[in-house]
Amino acid sequence: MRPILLKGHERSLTQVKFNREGDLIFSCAKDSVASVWYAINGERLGTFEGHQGTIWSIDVDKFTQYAVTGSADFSIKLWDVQTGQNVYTWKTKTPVRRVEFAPSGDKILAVLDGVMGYPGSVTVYEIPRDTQSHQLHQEPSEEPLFNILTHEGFDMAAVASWSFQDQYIAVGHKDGRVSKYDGATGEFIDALELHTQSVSDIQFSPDGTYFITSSRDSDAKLVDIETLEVLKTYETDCPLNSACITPLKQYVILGGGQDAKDVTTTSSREGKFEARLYHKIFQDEIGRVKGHFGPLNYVAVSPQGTSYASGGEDGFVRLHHFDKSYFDFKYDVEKSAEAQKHMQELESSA
Amino acid sequence: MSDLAIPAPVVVENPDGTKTIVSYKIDNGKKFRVTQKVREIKVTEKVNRSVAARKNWHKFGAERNSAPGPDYSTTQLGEEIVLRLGTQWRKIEEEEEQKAKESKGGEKLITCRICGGNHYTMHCPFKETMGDATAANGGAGGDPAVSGDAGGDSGSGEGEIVAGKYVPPSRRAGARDPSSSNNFDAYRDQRERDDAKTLKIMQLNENADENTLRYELLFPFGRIPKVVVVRNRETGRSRGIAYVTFETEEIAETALNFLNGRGFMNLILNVDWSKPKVAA
Repeated sequence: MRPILLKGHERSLTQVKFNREGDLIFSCAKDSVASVWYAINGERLGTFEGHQGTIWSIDVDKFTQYAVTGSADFSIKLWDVQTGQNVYTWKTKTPVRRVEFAPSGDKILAVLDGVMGYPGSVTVYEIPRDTQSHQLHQEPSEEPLFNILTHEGFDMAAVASWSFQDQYIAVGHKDGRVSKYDGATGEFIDALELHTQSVSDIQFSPDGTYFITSSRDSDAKLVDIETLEVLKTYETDCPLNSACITPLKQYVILGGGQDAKDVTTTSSREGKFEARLYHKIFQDEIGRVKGHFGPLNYVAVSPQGTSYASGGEDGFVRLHHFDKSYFDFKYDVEKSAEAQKHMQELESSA
Repeated sequence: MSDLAIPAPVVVENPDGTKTIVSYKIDNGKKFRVTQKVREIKVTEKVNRSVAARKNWHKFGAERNSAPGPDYSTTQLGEEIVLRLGTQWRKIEEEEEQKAKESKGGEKLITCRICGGNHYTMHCPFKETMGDATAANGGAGGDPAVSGDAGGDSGSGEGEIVAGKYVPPSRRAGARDPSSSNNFDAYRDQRERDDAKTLKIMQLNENADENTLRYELLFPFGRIPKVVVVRNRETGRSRGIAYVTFETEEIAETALNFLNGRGFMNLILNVDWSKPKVAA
């Protein structure tokens, strides 16, 4: 496995995303320019220029037509992916921490910071699209569709994500809670005290029925969206910044490391700046991928499950296309079960 | 200048499916003949339509005027990473680290003459208790390396290596006399391949490459310093023969006994000691 290093950013990465076909990678960093890359060879397709501050988050719709970025300059920008043109800009009251397209592509959510007297919110905007060409057929409304202000007694939201068919919004809070809202109305449904420290990432499974959370308390948890039941827990030895669920193989990839402020005082060996692979079902750590010399701020896996990218505090994106050993690995129980099945098939056919 | 005119390129189809193209070019006023041997392979790849369309998109933003293809200033290849998944990955990694450490230290740079440990003789913890005994023993038994010296014949020294005694390279097992006439470059040969520790594996599956051999066939035999699969120089296909150098002769022998006649990737292996290259 030979990683491709994407060195287009001048400051630490904040988010990395694949599009639906897995052929483009979107990255954003604390410098105010977002980049688009071809996944196959790491060639940079272009940059989205226009923000005035840190871009905290980026996402692309399922048609790879529009990308959205949320920035610390109090704005959300919509971009045409093919031309790199800024199509629309929403002004916000506070910095934007996270943006994400709904699976249908008709809405975006934005996590707004709770600062300057604002309690913080998850705000949903509508993207008016033509049903045929999926182009914008009119200017999006500046007013949000609805606004989920931070629930009383909860800390403000840090991350949020859509479930299948825009049904729910799962929100991770700074106090470690995870709450669930209706995706159409923004109505509060349920909440769960999941972690002891801030939730740093929420990413859904490919089918959108369960999600993985990562937290600064060093745990990652797999949670069912319908019941908010904790399915699996992955324990590590360092604060986590991101986690993702791999399609194709039953693994999860976790990324993290110590706080950025402690990095200069420890060697990279102790820093635990490795992507960790855990088996999704058995919850064992089955491998690590070295390479970054700063904490990993985000890990993303391609929807095809054949490659993953990590963005680090060191300012690099490392793009890995998995090799044979990744796909070949099986537990002994899996192997014996397969052999048994094979024998039964032979017997029944004989 | 008429002699600098470029003749039309000639394409010859070879019987093995390759093509030979002879073309001419002029560089710095000199005419060059370029002979290329080419094999054409058609690979059909199915690509999502939208992915194919996106491949032809024009670059934008900071890359607006860049040439097609990755730019070295933004895209670089990292170092090879070995990802071996397993529940025992930590243990395996530690073992490998240990092994790497040992092999870096060479075949023990320092050897105690008393106990054979990895320290100077003067620091040996058994200096007081064992020092005299071994000295007496060594004297009575006679020293093979010394007797080899006395014989003055390089052949008699072969294989008689005693741990802890320095034996010059020319007297070690497998060494040949550099001054002898049938061996014009003994040192070069030694560098290339140490036949004493090398096996020739024949009847290999054509699809087995160096890594497959290392990880699927040879993994029980410790660190493998060198695996070479013999390939056809033009087509790059394996000829079904590989030379494998092991850490020691003993391991090589075990491997020979273990692998000879054993099945690997649907073929029965035929393993033999590697023979030195016949001097041309």
